[in-house]
Amino acid sequence: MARHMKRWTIGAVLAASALVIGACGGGSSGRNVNGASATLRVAAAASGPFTQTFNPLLSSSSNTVGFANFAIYEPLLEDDFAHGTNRPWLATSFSWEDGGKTLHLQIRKGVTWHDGHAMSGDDVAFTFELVRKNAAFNTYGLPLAGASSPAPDQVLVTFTQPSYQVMWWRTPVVPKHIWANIADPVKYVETSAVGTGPYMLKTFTPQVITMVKNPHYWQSGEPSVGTVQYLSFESVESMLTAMEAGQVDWIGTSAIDPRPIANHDRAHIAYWATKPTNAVVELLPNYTVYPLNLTPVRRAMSLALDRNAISKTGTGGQNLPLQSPTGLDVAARVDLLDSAYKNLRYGAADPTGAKRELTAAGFKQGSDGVFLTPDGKRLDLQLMLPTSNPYGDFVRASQVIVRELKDAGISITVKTQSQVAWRDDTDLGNYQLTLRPLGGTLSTYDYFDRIFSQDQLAAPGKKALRNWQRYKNPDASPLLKQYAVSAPGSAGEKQALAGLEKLMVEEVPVIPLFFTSGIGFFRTNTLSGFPSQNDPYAVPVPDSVNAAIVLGRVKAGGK
Amino acid sequence: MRFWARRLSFYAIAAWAAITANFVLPRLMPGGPLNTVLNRFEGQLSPEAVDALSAEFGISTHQSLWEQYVTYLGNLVHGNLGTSFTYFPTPVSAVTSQSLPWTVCLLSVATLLAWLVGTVLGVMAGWRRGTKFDVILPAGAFLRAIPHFWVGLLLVTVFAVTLGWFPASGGYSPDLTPGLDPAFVSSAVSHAILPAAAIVIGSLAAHMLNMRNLMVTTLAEDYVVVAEAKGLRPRRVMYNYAARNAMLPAVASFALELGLVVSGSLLVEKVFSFPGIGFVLFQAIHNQDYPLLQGILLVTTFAVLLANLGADLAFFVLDPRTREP
Repeated sequence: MARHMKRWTIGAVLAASALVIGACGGGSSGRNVNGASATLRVAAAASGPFTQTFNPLLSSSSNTVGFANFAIYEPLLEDDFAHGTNRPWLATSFSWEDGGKTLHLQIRKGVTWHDGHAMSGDDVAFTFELVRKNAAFNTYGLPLAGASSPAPDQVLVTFTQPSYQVMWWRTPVVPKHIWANIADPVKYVETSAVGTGPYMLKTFTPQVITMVKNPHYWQSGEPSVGTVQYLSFESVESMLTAMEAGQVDWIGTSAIDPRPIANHDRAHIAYWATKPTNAVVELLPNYTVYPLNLTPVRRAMSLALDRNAISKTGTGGQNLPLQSPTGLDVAARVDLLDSAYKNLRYGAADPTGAKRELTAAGFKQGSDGVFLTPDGKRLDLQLMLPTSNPYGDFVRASQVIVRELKDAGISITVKTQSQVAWRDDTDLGNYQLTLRPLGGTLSTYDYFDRIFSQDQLAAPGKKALRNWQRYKNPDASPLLKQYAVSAPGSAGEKQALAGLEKLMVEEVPVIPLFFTSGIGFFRTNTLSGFPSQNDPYAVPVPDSVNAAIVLGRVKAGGK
Repeated sequence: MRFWARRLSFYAIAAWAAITANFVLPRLMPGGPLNTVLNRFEGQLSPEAVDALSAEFGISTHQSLWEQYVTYLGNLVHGNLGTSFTYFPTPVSAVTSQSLPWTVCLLSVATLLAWLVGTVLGVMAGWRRGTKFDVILPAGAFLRAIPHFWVGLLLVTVFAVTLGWFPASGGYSPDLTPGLDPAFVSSAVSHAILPAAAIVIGSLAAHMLNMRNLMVTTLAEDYVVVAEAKGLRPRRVMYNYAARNAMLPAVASFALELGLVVSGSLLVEKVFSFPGIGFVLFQAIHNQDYPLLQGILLVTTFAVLLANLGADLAFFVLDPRTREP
C-alpha cells in the first residue's frame, strides 16, 4: 500500500505539472488589426454553448446560435428604432392594394446568396409560402393567403384580412433553391446557413461561430472587417470580464452599471446605453382587484410618480423616462400624437394632485397617512416583480415607486418571484400590480393592441395573451379595428389613434414609466465605427435585429 | 452471490425510481416551455408566437400525463431522448454529447486531484496530530467555507484580468478548431487550469479534514497500537495499518463525487463560461426544456448509480467483511 500511495502522489504531481506546462503553451494569439485580416469578436448574450441550427424562421433559434443569424439572414425591411420607422432592406419599397389585403413589394436587385445564386422575388414569395404552410414559422401571426412573384423584382403577398398593421417586414428571406428540397422544414437542422447578409458562415463549434466577409454583399464597401467571431458565454459576468481582458470586442447587456467596466480601461472600452427597442415598462394595475378598477386610483398613482426620479435613482439613468402620457415614444413617433396631446408631458411627482383625485372619489386619508377606500379598507396594494434578469432591475426601480406612492397615501408592498412564476401569475391575473415591458416592435398598433385588446379579455385564472391588466372598455374594440384596417397616415388611422390616446391619458389603463435598457460595450483599440450617442445609426447591442447594420459599418483600426 | 443479486435488484429499482422522478419533477414547475421562450424575446414577439412555438415543439396535442409517461418510457427503451426545446431542432443526445466531454474531463481530473491531495494531506495531518502541522486545520476550515465560484472569481481577477497569464473564459482559443492536435490540446488545457484550480482549491479541504478525522479515530484502535508495539516502521503503520482502514468512508465519498462529475459544476462553469454540461442543465431548468432536462438527469442518475456500483466493488475488495453472507 505504501508503494501505491507513493505512486499516486507522484501521479498527482505529474498531472499538476502537465497542466502548468500546458498553460505555458497556450495563451492568447496575436490580434491582427488592419483591414480584411482583422477580426471582430462578438458576444451577444449569455446563451451558453451554441448548437448548429441557423433556421431563421424559428423564433427560438437565434438564441441557440448566439444571434449570429442576424449577420447571415436579412429581413425585408430593417427596423430603425431611433426614428420609429423601417428602412428599405431586401425590399426597396412597398405599397398596399386591395384595401390592405395585398402587399406589393419591390425587391432589391443585385443581391446574391452566399453560394453565388441570385436572390429574386421568387425566394421572397417562397419564404412567405413557407410561413403560411408551417404554423411554427408564423411568429408574427400573419393572416397569409398566399404569395407570388409576377416578375423577378416584384412580389405580391395576399392576406385574408386588411393587414396594414401586421409585422410582415420582419420575415427573414431564405433561399428557395435550398429550402424547396426539404421535406420537413420545421425539423430541418439548418447547418449550411446560406443567406444574403454581410457575413458568411465559415466554421462552427459550440464555442465559436466564425464568419467571413461576404464579398458580394449588396451594400458597396461593406463590410470592412474580414472575420467576425461570435463567442459563447454563460454569464454576463464572464462576458464583462472577457471585455476587460480584451478577449472580446463587442458585447451587449442590460441592467448593470456600465461605468466600472469602462473605467477599467477608459482608453479602449467605450459604451453606449440607450433603449434597444421602443418597449415601454408599464405599471400594470389588475382591473379585477378592487379598487384598481377605479379610474381615480390609477390616475392618482400616475400623478404621484416622477418618471425622471425613477429613471435616475431607480435605474441609474439607464432606462430613459417616458415623457408622453399617451405611452408613445415622442423621440421617435411624434407624428402619431393627436393634436390635443402634442405638447402634453409628464411632470414631476404631484402627491397633492394624487390626493385630490382620491379625495374626490370618496377616499379618506387615515391617521397613518394611508388612504381608506369609500368602504373603509386600507389602500394597501402588492407589487409583484421578477427577480432574475433581464428584469432584475425592476426591483431597484420599485424602491422609488414605493416611496413616491407612499407620499401620496398609497401603501405598496413588494413581492418578488422567479421570472417564470412572475410571468405565469401575470398571464393568469394572479397579481395586484406588476411591472412589465410592452411593445418593442415598430408597430404602434401592436403596442396598443397589447394594452387595449378586448377580443382576448381573459377571465381571472385564464391565460391572457394581451391586455394582462384585464381592462374592460367596449369603446376600445372599434378603435383598434379601425386602426387595423386603416392605411398608415390615413384619416382613419389618425382618428383611431386620437381615440386610443384619449383613453390612455384619461383612463390610464396602464401606467407607463420608462423604456427598457440596452448597453453596448466596444473595444476601440483595434476597431472603430460602432454606434454611439453622436452617431446613433443603429441599436448598439448585438442581439438586436440591427446587428447586421453595425457589422457592416465597423472598421478595422482603433481611434 | 446473494450479495450481488441483492445489490443489482436494488440498482434496478433505484434506476426506475430515478427515471420516473426525472419525468415528474420538471412538470411540477410553474410556467412552461413556451412561456420561457416568450420571456427571452419579450417585446420582440407577438402573442401569436405562442401558436407558432407550440406547433414547433409539438406540445399543442393534449396528451394526458400518463400517455406522456408511457411515450417517454418507450422512447427511453429505444435510446431516443427526444428533441430539445431550447436548442430546437437539435436532438437532446447531440446537445449533451457536445458538452459532456468538457465537464467530464475537467471535473474528473479536478475531483481526482482534490481527493488525492486532500486525502494525502489528511493522512499526514492525522498522523502528526498535535504538532505544528495542525495549522492546516483552520486553513482547511477556511478554504472549505469559501464557495468554488468565489475562488473562481478571484482567480479570474488576479490571473486572467490583472496578470493576463491565463484566458478569462471559454474552453479553447477561438482561433482553433477542436481536434486532437497539440495546439488545440494545449489551448484547452490552458483554459482548464483556472476552473480546475477553483474546484481543487474549493473541495480539497473537505477531503483533507474528513480524512484527518478518520485517521485520528483509527489511530486509537488496538491493532495500530499493536503494530507500533511490534516495532514496525512508522510509514508502514501510517499507510498500511491506519490509512488503509481509515480510507473506506473516504472511498465511498469519492465514488459519490465521481458520480456527480457528469452533472457539472454550474457556478464554476458560469464564472469561466466553460462549455460544460452544468450550464446546459441550468438552461434546461430555466427554459423548462423537459426533454433536455430528462436527458441530462438520466445521464447523471446512471453515472451516480454506476459510481455507487464502483464503490461497492471497491468495498468488496478493500473490506473482507462485505464478502460474508
